[in-house]
Amino acid sequence: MKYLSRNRTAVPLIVIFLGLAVLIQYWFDREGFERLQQGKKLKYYKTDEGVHLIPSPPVLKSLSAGLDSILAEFLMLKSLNYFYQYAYSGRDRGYQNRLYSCVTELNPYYFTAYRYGGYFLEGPFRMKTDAICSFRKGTASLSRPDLVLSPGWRHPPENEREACIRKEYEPSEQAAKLMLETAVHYFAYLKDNVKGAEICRYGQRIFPRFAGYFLEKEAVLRSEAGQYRLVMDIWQRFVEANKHDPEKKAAGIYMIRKYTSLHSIDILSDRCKQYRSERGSNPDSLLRIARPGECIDGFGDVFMYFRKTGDVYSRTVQKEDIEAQRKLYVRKAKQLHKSNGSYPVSLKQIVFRKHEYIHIPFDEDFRYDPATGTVGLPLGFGRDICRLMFRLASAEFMYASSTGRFYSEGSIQALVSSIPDEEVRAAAESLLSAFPLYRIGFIPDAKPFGLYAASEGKGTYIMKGAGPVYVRSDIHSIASWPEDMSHWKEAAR
Amino acid sequence: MVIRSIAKVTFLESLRNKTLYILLLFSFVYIILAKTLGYVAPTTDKEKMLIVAGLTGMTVFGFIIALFTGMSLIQKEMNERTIYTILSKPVDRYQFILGKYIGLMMLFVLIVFLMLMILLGFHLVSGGEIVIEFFYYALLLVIELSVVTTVAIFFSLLTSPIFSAVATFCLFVAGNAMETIFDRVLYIHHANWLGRWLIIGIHMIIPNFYNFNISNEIINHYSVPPVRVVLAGVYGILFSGIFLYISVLIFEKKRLK
Repeated sequence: MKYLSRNRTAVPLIVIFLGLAVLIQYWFDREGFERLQQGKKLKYYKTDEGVHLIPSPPVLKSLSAGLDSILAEFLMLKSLNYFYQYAYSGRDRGYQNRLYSCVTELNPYYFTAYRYGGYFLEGPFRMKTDAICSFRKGTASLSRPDLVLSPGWRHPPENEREACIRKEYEPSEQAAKLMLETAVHYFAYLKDNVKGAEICRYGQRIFPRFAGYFLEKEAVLRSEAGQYRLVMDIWQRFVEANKHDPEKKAAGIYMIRKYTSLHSIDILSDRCKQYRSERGSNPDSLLRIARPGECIDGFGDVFMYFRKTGDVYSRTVQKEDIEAQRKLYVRKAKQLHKSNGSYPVSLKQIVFRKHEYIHIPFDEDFRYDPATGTVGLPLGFGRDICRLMFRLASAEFMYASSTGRFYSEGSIQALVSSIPDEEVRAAAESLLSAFPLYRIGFIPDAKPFGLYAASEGKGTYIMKGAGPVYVRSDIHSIASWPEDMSHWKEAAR
Repeated sequence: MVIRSIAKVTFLESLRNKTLYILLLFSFVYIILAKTLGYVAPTTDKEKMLIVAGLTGMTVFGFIIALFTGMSLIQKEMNERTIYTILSKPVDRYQFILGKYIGLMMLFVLIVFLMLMILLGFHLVSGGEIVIEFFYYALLLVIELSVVTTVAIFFSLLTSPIFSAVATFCLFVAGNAMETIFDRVLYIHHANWLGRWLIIGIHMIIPNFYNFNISNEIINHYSVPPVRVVLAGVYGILFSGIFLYISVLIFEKKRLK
């Protein structure tokens, strides 16, 4: 300080140097910022090279030099990032497994890693055996080493099993929970969902703290086992437990309605089967086998019934898959917008494998606006579902995309017979007689739209010799057919 | 009496070392910043990251301090020629080494205690619970640093300071790795008899630093049996004694120019 006060040039020099340093720093920051922005405009995908550089678990452990716990935490973080980024994109599944192996090798007490490993590997990655391995590894690592369970501990009588679990519970509650989870996943793997659900129920009793978890797991397993009545009870309990939480309550009520529908479908299908075995044919209508009120599903909608096969469907339950798919597309489009600065040009650019999620409908069925990123209901809403159904039902119904309704063969014939234009009517009748109904659909978004027959899944016009046939989208107001349809005829020719 | 005097002087001299304060400052800042790691923690247990990073910081900074002070403990005296003044008095060479070592140990106890207090203070402020395992960790860390110091002294008497630092670091890494290598070779890969005995031999000779590490148990809320701490402590003291004894033997024979 003394030197600074004596030397007059020192202070300005320091200020100048500091100012220059600040300027240079500003330049670095600005350059970096620009590069960052340019990088964001580049491709959405990251290269795999960055994420795959990880040695085998024992090598990593050997090289960790005692810093294994913090390394385990960072790798766990990396595994979560990898999962949320690539779980549905069909990336390297083994890498996810490797990450969990590294984490548990570095920190054998990492309870969460065993659990996440089990769930994530089993879920989207479909690595069931590795998932069970993860649970078993956790059970083995966290349990008491002196405790040796008999190989058939999953199957012993109730009291013996309880004793086993309690033994585990004493040193570590988490180890005991992992043990039960292993059993649950083991049975799920064997497709023995009922036994898995029983273990879950047992878990609720012995672990009150984890009761919610085991309750939800039981619901899933019972649902897969087709025990809808019990699933309804579980969701009823869920609603009662969450009566002060409107969102959870609404979700619970929705699930009750869904499983009520599925339960009713089971009952009606069984009765239909019984009817067929007694009389040799399916009932003409559901009313013949259903008691009053049974024709309506949990959402208040009438069941669809296919006479030739005796199948019963709930429209609402199937719609939910489509809605879930739509929401997924919206979410993915938003993610791309956030990372790229613009929405994808087409839904096909969104990366996840269709077979990993919901099979139908496909991306081209959705209405998509690249400017706003909005995804609407499918253009041929339910067309693929119906195509499948129609094959099953031997062409009894037809689906109109614009009205979202199903029409039977009889109602279509009535519609066609009421066409005032003789030429059009004749063409429609010949079309109906020439093709099975499931191959005939409505041209989407054409008002009035034409009947066409689907040829090998491609919507080509089939107007062979019959000329164009047009019906109005609103078939209920059949009386108001347009007077002049000549321009439509011309357009079709 | 002589040993006590040398230890006291070494301790006070170390306290005047500015490098030590810089490292200590870094360690404190690191422990404080470890709190922010909780925001990126993969689990809902945000406090876990503070503990994980805090304990790791204690080990890393403790190791660095032990390495550099141990490495320069004798070399510095020799370079500055002060060792001649000391040894010209009625002081045995073993007393000199022992006094230096004890002085350093006092320093380590102080450093580890300070770092632990800062970590626990933050942990308490964040609503965490203090368990006995934290103190076990600190105790084992002091013993671990004692082994590192004796290894560094041993190598510094044999070679140059830089090489002794490198050799100590390598031994530390190898000591941590042997646990895994031993497990793998013996129980998983089923090596042949030569490989087995080689691995067993190396595993027994090299100090296993992994024995002092109980951070995994602490961060996952597992209790550590006191017998394990006692055994690890005895193990560390034994190895410190071995390296210190060898160092004394070398130093006794060393010709001071």
